[in-house]
Amino acid sequence: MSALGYFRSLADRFLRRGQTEQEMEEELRMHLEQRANDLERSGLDRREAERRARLEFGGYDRFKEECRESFAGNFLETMLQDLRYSLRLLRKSPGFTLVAIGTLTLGIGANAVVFGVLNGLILRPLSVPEPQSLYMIEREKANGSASYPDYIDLRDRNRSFDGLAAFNFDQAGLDLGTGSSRVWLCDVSGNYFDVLRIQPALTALPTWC
Amino acid sequence: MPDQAQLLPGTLDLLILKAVSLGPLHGYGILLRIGQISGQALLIEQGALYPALFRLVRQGLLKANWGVSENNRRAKFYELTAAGRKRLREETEGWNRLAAAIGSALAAAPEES
Repeated sequence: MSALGYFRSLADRFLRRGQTEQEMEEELRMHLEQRANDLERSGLDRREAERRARLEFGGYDRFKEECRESFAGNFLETMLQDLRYSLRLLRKSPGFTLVAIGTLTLGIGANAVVFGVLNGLILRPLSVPEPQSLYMIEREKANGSASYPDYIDLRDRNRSFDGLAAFNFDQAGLDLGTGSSRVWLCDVSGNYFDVLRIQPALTALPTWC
Repeated sequence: MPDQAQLLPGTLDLLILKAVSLGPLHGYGILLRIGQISGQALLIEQGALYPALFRLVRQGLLKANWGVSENNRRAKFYELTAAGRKRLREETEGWNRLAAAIGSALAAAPEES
């Protein structure tokens, strides 16, 4: 199907509806008239000729309806009718409608939450270069943490990784001039940013890092 | 009327394309032309022509323009588009293949089968 023909037909159906309808009528009427003329010429009287022409044409209104259906965009019209019909039905049985809407709401909501958590924790990779080659080393029997001297030993004897950085979650008091408040912070070893190959957002690192 | 054959489904479109390929025509003219080139041997419900014409226009195989008929009346004339010409060629080949196959199948004598 050519796109041009399709869109022209769509425009005929929706934008120029009255004119299209009128032209269709004119076209079909002319057919009947011409047929009647031909029959009359072959010897029938006018009224008999017109009757025969209508008979040979077949169901006038049925074919007109079929003509309308051949326009593009008929599915749009049908879909709108279906939509209106279902809305009417839903309004008729508010109990069912409420249960249906509630079920859908809960279902969609639960799905969205689960996906949100999963996306944050598992699906979205860390925003560092080569996140797939990042590993965490933990001691099995010390709540997962290692002492600083242990870290130094591991770091200096490391032959398996490009680099080894240490971090530790901590709390401290922070005073920005408006009274102190408790904040979470992360102590990290000096090579932390190098190992992760990232730059701090706000400032360049001091050289002693 | 002599004995007339019913149209097979789908053949009306092909006949319309063929009729129009010989020159632009209005609806009634197409009917007459089909009657003429088929030797009046096909039974066509005249009204069925118009849904078919509208469909062919939508498919871009025909294009329609209002003009003036032979008896000086405003009339809608149909003519083939390039796509319509191509479709006519393809459908004609397909029809010939089908007719030949059915023909030879029905002509098969018992000892040949």
